[in-house]
Amino acid sequence: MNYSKSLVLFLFLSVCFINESVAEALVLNDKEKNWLAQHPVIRIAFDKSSPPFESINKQGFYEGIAIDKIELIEKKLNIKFKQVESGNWSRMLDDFKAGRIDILPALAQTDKRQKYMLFTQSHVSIPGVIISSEKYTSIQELDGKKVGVVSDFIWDELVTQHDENINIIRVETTQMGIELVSVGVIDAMVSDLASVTYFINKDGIGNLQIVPVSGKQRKNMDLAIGIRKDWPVLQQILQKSLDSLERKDIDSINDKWLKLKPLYIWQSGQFWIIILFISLIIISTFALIIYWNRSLKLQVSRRSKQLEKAYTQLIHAEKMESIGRLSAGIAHEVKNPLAILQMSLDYLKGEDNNETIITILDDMDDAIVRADKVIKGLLDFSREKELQVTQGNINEVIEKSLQLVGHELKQRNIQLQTLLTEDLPDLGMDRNRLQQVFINLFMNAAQAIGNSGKIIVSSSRGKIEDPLLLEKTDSHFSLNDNVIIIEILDTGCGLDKKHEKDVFEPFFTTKPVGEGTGLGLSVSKTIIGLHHGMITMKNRMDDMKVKGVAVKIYFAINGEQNK
Amino acid sequence: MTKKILVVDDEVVLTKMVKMNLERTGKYEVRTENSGSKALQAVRDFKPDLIFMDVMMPDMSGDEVIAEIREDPELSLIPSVFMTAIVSKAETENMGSNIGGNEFLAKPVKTEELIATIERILAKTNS
Repeated sequence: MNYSKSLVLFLFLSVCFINESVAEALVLNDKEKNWLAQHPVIRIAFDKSSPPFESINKQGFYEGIAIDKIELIEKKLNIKFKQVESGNWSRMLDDFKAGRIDILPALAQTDKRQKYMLFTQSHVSIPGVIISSEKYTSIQELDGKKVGVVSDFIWDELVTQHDENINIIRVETTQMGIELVSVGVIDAMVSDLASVTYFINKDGIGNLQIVPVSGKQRKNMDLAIGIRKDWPVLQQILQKSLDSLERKDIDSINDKWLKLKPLYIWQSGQFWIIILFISLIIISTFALIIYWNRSLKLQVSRRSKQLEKAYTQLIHAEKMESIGRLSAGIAHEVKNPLAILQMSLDYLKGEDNNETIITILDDMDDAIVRADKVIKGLLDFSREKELQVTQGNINEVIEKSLQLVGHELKQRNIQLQTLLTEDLPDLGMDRNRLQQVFINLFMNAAQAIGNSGKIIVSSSRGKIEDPLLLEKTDSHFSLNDNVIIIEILDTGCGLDKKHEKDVFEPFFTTKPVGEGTGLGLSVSKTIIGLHHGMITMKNRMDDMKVKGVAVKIYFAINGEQNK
Repeated sequence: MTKKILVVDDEVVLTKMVKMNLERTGKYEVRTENSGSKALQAVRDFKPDLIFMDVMMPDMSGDEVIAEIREDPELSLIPSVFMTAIVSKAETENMGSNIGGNEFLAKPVKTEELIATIERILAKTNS
């Protein structure tokens, strides 16, 4: 510790200065005994704010050197002083002068006070000290320095008297002065050792040197018990009591209030600043690592999703290509035999047949038509992936497609409601291919309804608002893209939840054998994809009572399509 | 007057059945060939009024045969109809105008469709 030497010095000083007398046995004479008997009430008041001599603690009890000494005296005399409350120091003196207080436990003996007060000999004598980060031992060494003193204390007088070159900074309390020295605002502080010790212990300041003022200016602060002027007997009694105090009791009081406590490392402000600094570094490092980790995780999950999507798209594309190649091959190999069958059948039909034969031949004809339909569906995959793009209004394509399926809808007694928004911007599109898509979707809806129901077709402008939509579909869209939305709602049987994911897969069908190849939606999705659009198919959510499917198709506006 | 129709396809049975179906109407005289190279010779010898031509054949594809016929001033005006197994009907409609004004028919073709096509084209040629 910086002030370990000072501590040793101080212990020495405390022995020398604070009580030099040897304890004498307390023997009161008759007069004194009588006086005590006649004065059962002796009023005492303590100062609330002069640590370590007298002050009030947080629990509201008085404590300090003076209080401890008074207690010892009370024990010796076997009496109890009556403690009275007063105000600050000046108020206490006023109360004393007015006769409301009989004794004050620790105050300096001044000429002024002697006019209305008797004093014992000083029972506390505290040396003056210089507190600084350097090791100044005398007032002279403070020449040209900024030196703090508590204004109007004896130390103010001492410093002022002895050196005019000192830059005196008057502070309100010793505590404030010590803090200023500690942070380097002033060079040194001159005060009494007791106050300094008290505040250094209390505030855990460890970077200061405490050195007694040496040389000619060496001075002590002497405190005695003050007694009302008209009670000289009490003065005698108290003096005798003080003289009778045991050495060990006095030492114990001094140790308690004046000894510098060993300063543990955690009591130093610097220690906590360093700890704080290290903690900040550790916390920010952790925060950085956590942040980094999180952003990496996010990146990984984003990339994983992208990869997963790309992988799915790749699988889909490969699947499509295989189907395409296969279809072209099958088409060629199957269509020729079908052509032969057709021609042969035609020939047989031209012969003179009985009715049974005619029925059989018609059935065969139907079978060829069905087989051909399957092959045609397959051939859609082997098509060129290029569009015959022209600018046009999507509503026209929808209306044309509805016209083509009109007969089918009428036959099935299906009501049609169209809500097409006018003034939709033109799109670059392959009309024939899109027509193929819409016909396919309308036929699906009609087949799902069966007989009697309703199809609602709408077109509108909108935005991509659902991020989930982008995750689930392999589209080129971003959030808030402007789009044209086509919606087809039916009142059919709806989708089985487990099939929602598969509806766009090639060869997926829930229709009876012979009614669907399972390629329609897959082809539709491919065509919409070629238009840089997106198609979704879900069960209707708008009204829980209505069963059925909602198909939504999104086309980009702002020239985003057909990039 | 019977019209002369040349039917070219590497499927022997198919050409035979087309011949039987068309000739049964009594309106057409049909010659069949089963390869591109033989078809070229047949066009020169037979001088058909209309040619039904398969597209994919082993030695010479149908459109190559037609291209060569187009180069011969004497034969270039003979109308031809492609019969193909790899395109659907919708596609033949789209492609019809793309290859020298030739018509396309997607296999399998019904006899009545063949006859309708012949009549339509020959009516156009005569006028």
